[in-house]
Amino acid sequence: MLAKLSSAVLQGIEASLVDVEVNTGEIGELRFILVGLPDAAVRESQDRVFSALSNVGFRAPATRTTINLAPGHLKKEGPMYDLPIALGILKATGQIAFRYERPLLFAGELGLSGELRPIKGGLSIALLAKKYNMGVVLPADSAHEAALVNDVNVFPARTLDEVVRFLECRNDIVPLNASESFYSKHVMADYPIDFAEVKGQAAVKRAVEIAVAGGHNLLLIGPPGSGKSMIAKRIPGIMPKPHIDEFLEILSIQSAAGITLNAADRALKRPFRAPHHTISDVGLLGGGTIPAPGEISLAHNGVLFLDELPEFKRSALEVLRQPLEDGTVAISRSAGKVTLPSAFMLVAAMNPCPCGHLGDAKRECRCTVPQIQRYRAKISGPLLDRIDIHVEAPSISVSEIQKKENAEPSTTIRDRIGRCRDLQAQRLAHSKAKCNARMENAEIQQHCALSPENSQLMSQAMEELDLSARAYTKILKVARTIADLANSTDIAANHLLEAIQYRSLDRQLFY
Amino acid sequence: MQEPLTSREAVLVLNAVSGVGPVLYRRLMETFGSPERILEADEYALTRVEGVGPKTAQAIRDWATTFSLSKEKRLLLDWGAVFLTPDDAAFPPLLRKIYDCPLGLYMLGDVMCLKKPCVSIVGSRRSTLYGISVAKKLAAGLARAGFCVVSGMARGIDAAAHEGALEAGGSTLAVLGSGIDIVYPPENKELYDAIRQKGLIVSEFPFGRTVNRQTFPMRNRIISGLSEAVIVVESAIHGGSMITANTAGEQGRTLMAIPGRIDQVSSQGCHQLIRDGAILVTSVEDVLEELAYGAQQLEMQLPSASKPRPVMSLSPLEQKIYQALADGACVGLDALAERTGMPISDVASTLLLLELKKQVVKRADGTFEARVFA
Repeated sequence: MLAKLSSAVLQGIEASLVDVEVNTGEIGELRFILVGLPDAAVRESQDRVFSALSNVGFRAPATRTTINLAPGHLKKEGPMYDLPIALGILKATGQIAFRYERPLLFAGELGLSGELRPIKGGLSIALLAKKYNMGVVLPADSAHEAALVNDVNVFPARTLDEVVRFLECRNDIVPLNASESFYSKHVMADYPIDFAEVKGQAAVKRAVEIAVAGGHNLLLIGPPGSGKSMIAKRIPGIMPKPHIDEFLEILSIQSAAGITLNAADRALKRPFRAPHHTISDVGLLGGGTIPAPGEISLAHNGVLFLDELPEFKRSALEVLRQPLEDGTVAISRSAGKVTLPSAFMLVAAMNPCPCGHLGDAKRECRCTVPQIQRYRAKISGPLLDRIDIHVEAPSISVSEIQKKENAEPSTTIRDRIGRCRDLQAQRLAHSKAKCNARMENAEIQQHCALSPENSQLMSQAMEELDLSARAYTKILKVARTIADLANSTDIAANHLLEAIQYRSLDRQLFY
Repeated sequence: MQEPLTSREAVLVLNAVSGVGPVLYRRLMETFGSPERILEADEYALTRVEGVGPKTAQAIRDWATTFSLSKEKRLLLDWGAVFLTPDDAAFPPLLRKIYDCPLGLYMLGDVMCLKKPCVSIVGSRRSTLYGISVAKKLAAGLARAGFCVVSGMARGIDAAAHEGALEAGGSTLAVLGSGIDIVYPPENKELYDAIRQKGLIVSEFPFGRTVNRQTFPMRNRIISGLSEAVIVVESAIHGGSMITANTAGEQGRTLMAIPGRIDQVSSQGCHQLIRDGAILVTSVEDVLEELAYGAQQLEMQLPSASKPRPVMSLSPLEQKIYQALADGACVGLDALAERTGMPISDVASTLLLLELKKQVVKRADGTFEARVFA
């Protein structure tokens, strides 16, 4: 007898429909055949399923059985087909009769005792179910992320037995409501780390605020121990709270990457990713035979922090350029081409010189001028092109750290940034750009007009500081953000001057 | 059979042979009596001299394979340079006295500079505005007083010293760590040309020799060796100028140092020298007095003591920031905001204005320094 159920396959972060067909009672020797490009984990599902079936009180098929995962050209990965295969066997062997009428999608890993374990991509599967107007049965743990999708019935199940009773209409499973999800319970949960803990570094904080307010990428230059990482980690906390759509994007990537499988901290917040500088291009961009999200996608709608920027392989930095421009990354592999979102804020950090002690009052820097210049030149022009703000983080003395008074908390900064973002959203309502940093040339001309005196000032600065030409538009955009923070319609001279101050890496300095 | 070499030619050859330094040369001379004889000696006789191994002996015997005398002589002619040996009357007498006096010196420019008493001004490549301005003023003052200002044509203090002397219309002498035809660092090309025109460029290295780790300390001993006094303007504890200070001490030359701020890494070397007995110098007069040159000997009038810099019209905000920097310290944005009580945004924008008005510079470490000294 033939049974047919629906499940899903993940490609990148998108799920597409898979039919799980189980045919039992075939003539021939007793065998269990699994087709449809299964990987090792899918193939092993036979053993898990048989054990689970017997422990729940059912029998494995006693005849030759074929299981087909269609469409046959897509590679199937992971243990998520355990549940539909088990149900297919039960239906095909006539051990249960489905009374539930509405169409359903199934995914879940089975334990030997018949309990259901969480799977990757629960959120993407719910989105797929929504598209086909189906309900979805998921392991309870995975249901929490899926429940955030509107207008889909997500049935959380703990065991195979529960699913069987539900399908036979002997027992009801109440669909999980978005409001009951872990994530919703921690909606807008505050970040455990706060800017109030960062003592001193007023200039860096100011630069960070401008960067976040305008969506600008940021480079911190400072000796080891100046608190660059500490500050970077706190940036997601001052970014505007993620809209539910943004959060669904964040979560669907994390879910597809398996991060949500056993995440301790399930709250609605922006990601912070800090890959080590030895990371491979694939690790950064995403890839693998079945394309999986890389660090830049995991940082989508959040912060990608690259500490020790000059230490990163040149190739790794070069591949960042396109995603930084487009906000998406396209990965082509033999298994197909996927496009993943990667709209992150880049926060990079570097030492001021090869030894790291330039400007450190305690330690002598013995780097020569050419060494320092070479070290700084390691950051290629095209990448520097995409970083609007450079700021120096001075080394901090112990007395500064021990200062009792707390600094401004993240929430205060976030409120200011939120107002500034609203202002930009209004002004850019009719353009593709959502923030100042993403303005195109036409928009820059329209919104960053300088008065004749300020134009004069700008040319003077370009010339005297030997600023590179690429700095020009960066400065205008940053000046626009500074003006927005000050709630000023026009870019005033002091806004412009401050913006110029944040271009340390492509100007002349005194050695 | 080619013509026998003259004594000067033989020294030119020996100076270029690898493995033959000043000390070994002196020993060879004690054995053979003249440079020509050294080149004529057979390998056995050479190896009997203490310190000459088979490799060096071989190098001396086969000098023609590594060195073209005719080319070197042609280059000397083309460049209008001379090669002086300690036997020449024009060779600087002070340098002749040092333990490791070079075999000879290539000289390019005005050799009359050597007639003047020499004082060297050396210091860090990475300097502050303070150091630069002190070096310049001191060099100008000494040049006006009739001294030839000696330095190494490196970045920073060295370059400032040469410039100061040239601007005052005085003499200056640059000792290179490369052949006299090589300009290092390349950005000092203009300075090199100016010194070639109005001063003297000196090196013990043959044409085409490039700089390396060894040539700088060798160059330093000549800087101090040429000079009656060595003035260290700015140096970190491990700076290259400390080597010059050391050789000055060994050669028995007067060592002077310019004090700086105690919180400035760039002056710590100078403070160390002063602690160890170097003479603290704050003006040209200090130098003259120490060297026992009476003011009557001065060819020109001394520059008047540092007069305050003419202040451009500054806005109250600019004035406030400038005042906060007026003590000569190198200060970052944070510290300036604290000193002035102004918000970071105002400090950042005002500093840029001051920079455009050339009152302040931004340094590579992210700090700012005011042009307090003229």
